[in-house]
Amino acid sequence: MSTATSSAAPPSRPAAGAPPLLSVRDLRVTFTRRGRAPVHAVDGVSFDVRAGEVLGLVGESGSGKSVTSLAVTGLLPRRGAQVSGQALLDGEDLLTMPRSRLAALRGKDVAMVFQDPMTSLNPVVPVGLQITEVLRRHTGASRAAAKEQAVELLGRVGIPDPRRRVREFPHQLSGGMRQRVMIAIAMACSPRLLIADEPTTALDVTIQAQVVELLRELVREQGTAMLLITHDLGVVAGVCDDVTVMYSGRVVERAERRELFARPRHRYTAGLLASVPRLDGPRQERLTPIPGTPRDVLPWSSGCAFAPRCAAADDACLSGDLALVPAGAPGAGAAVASGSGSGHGSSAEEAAAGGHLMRCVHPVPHDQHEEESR
Amino acid sequence: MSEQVAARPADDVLLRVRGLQVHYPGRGGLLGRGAAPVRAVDGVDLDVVRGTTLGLVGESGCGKSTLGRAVLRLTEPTAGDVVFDGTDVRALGREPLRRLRRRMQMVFQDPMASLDPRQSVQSLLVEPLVAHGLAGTGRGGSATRDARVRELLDLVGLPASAAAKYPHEFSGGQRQRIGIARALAVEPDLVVADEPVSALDVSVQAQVINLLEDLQERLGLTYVVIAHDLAVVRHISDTVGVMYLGSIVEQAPSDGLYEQPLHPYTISLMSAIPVPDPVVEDQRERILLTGDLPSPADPPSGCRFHTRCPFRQETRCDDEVPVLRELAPAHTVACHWAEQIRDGRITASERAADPAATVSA
Repeated sequence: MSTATSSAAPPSRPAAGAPPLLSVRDLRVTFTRRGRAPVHAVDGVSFDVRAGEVLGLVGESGSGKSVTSLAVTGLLPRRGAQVSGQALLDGEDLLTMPRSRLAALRGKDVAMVFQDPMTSLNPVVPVGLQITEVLRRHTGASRAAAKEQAVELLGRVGIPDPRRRVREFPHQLSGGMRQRVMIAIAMACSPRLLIADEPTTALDVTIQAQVVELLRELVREQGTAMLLITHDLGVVAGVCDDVTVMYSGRVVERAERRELFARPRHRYTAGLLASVPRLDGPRQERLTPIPGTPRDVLPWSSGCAFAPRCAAADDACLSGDLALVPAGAPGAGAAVASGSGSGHGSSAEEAAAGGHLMRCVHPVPHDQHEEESR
Repeated sequence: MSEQVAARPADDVLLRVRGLQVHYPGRGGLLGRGAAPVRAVDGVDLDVVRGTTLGLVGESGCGKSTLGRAVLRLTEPTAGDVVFDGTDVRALGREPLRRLRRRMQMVFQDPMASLDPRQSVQSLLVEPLVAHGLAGTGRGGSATRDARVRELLDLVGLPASAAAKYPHEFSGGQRQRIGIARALAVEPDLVVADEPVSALDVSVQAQVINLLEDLQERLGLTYVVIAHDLAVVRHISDTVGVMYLGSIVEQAPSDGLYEQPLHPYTISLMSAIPVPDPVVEDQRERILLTGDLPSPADPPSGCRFHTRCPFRQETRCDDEVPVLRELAPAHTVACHWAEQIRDGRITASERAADPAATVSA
């Protein structure tokens, strides 16, 4: 493969028409605490992930992207967190299935990689044992066979001298190696769905490139469906097939990756892209930051949550629930859902599945943006 | 900014560093001593021209933060010279050093950890003024101090009402603004900013970057900005130094570095940085480095990068330490084979570049 340009390209979408492996519909997570107003961390999120595809879930802190992944995998605490909606894995609802069934799926069909491998690996158990544990639990492999497999897995994720490393503890490994161990554990049972929550955020760029390549290979060779949660638009641009942008608990824009980066319609997405310094961009140009902070939000029930930070916001943005509508549709900018329905799972959305959707009253006009980018 | 640089006399150097070393005593062995020292910074030369920004970039463990601290003697250097505006910083005693520090301030990565949670913003901003005898005394003192606090808050874009609040009441970006105001309270000439934006949300990073640029323009500050994000460093720096395992492997004007990176490490680093543009991402050539950073307690012989270098040659790399050579105006690089790599006569080896090989290594 060498430095061939093709190696950087993600796999073509083999299963574009296939039914989704994971289908999340109207997911809501509310945190309640006595004496406090309930917090709607995730507020009606829907998305699909297909085999062999990578869906990117992008957002800043507080956007609800991590809570989404925890809710789907049933890792939120039972007390204090109310989860509703559906998360269908091959037609089976992960949110309502019995715990025993979920325990059988997690680690086998659904695997997870978290941001910080130091807190997600057990510090007092050798890494080899943490891999064989998964194998023996789910495949019933013998102790010796599982150990051999663990060595092989560590080798596959690029850890030198794996036979020695299986006996080592997490603190003896570098950050990049620990994340590789996490990926080895996730890969152990060849999962059909991999949920990676900021898998490279704690790593240096050269190590990040290695880990991203490893994840990409997993998707390409084993046809794993991947949900990649990140705030890094660069990683998204290189890896994901589809991108879902979240803000304050709701999806604000969804599109195929090239479409999203070429024609971002939601003001938040466009703002994010304009605020990141690019390695290949003109250096003298000033960055255009988004004013305010991710904490300056409105409740979605009273308008667009992004309105307080948005340069284009006006009274129309404060008129109740906004629907997620196809971006190309004529008059899309003025579409406001009537009544209390907040427009998820609507027929319009189903019809435009895979198309460009956004939730904005005053979207970035196509032509203007194209001129800007020249 | 580069036009200003050209207009200035090149010898108007505010900070000159020569052969700076910071070695930490190694642990292990009998009595926990006697092991090889950790060579965090191992022979660094720098010149920072007044009114410009020097960016230091490198991966974690390359010694960039230690270098920044050693310049201010927050970490004591083990060898080398630091000359700040004609003053030999290393020769100063405690009190003269303390007084000199008024002119050289630091902005830290995590403002939550560097601001005392029990002090109000007013008190946080007055403290450096008092320490350096800049607060007004006597009857008018309190009014002078209040005016100065308001002025500082205004400078970094915070409302005057912020003075009565405490750090936890602010968001990350606002806290970083307070950290910057505190550094600027004593009107320094040099500000060393260690990862000033990496703890912030993406949309807020740009605000702080713009603020740092505005302040430089208004106050004529000189910056040393330390960060792991080459895109950020390139954006705000006039000159960029790339560090690997305690030494600078390449130094160049920001634009020159991007257009023509010469050191194999810089080339690999740039190819590893993702660009938020799918069209670019699909066409890029990516050089994947193998393995991790070697231990600075036991650095590789010869060129320190040779264990991971995709351009490694049979001769010289393993046993001969490369020195910084000037290949283009103001563009120095420490690589034996830089010319050959630049001219394409040496290409990245398959071993290092093939992702499949990385995985099955």
